Amino acid sequence: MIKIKNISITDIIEPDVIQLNVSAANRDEAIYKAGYLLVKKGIVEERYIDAMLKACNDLGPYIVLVPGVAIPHARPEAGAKGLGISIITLKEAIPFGNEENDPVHTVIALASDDNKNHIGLLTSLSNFLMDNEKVNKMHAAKTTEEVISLLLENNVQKTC
Amino acid sequence: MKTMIRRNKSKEKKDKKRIMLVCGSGMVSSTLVYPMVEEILKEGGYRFEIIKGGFNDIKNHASINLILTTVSPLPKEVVEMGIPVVVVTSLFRGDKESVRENIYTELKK
Repeated sequence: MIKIKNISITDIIEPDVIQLNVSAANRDEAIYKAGYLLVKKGIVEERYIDAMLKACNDLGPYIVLVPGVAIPHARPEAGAKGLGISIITLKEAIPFGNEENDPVHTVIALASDDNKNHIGLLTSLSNFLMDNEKVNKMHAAKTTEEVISLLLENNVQKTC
Repeated sequence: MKTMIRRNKSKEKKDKKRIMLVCGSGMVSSTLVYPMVEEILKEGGYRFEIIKGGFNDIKNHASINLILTTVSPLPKEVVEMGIPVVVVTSLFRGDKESVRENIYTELKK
């Protein structure tokens, strides 16, 4: 087995990577705004945002993994400097072109500077995403603290 | 009941299946569905190996029996490889039944 650093969501989620009630005119703007939080935090270079946009355009809107939630991301070599996550909730939900899961009300941008250390983070995120009720609560959240507590509630540590 | 299960264990279940689990980057959605896919394959009694990656990695692996993916539609160059494909995105919505059905059907062929 490959040894991985099991960094979970508790280690990296902070209020300054969360923005609520964000206005965005379209898919690209929503991805850009979520990505920009990672740029400001020093987790990614600006070109990482372009790579996220390109991935979504090239491969289609598969990043809308569950109803209402898109998870844009790119490869580590596209300009990721660290492991991070940012979350925006949208003032008005936007169609991303994913028939089954549109419209999108929450965008969670992910970045990882290598192929392995994001796995713990994804495990905790997965617990959250699969819980429809929690996802809807996040959409309705009024404060960043609420968002953080929704993510942490589900964070039962699992060994990979 | 037990003997029945054993009798049904045909050759198709004894051969080790090489399953490629792919998404756009090979990092996020494939990692998220990994445990669910693994569970389905275990429940089916298959011997298997899951190789995780992005689309560009598929050509680097020989004798893949089945591609599982979160991206639909697949890029043309992947479709042209002629490897059976099952889209597993609906696992995120908890729809395990249909995905399981599709995977078992493809592995029986």
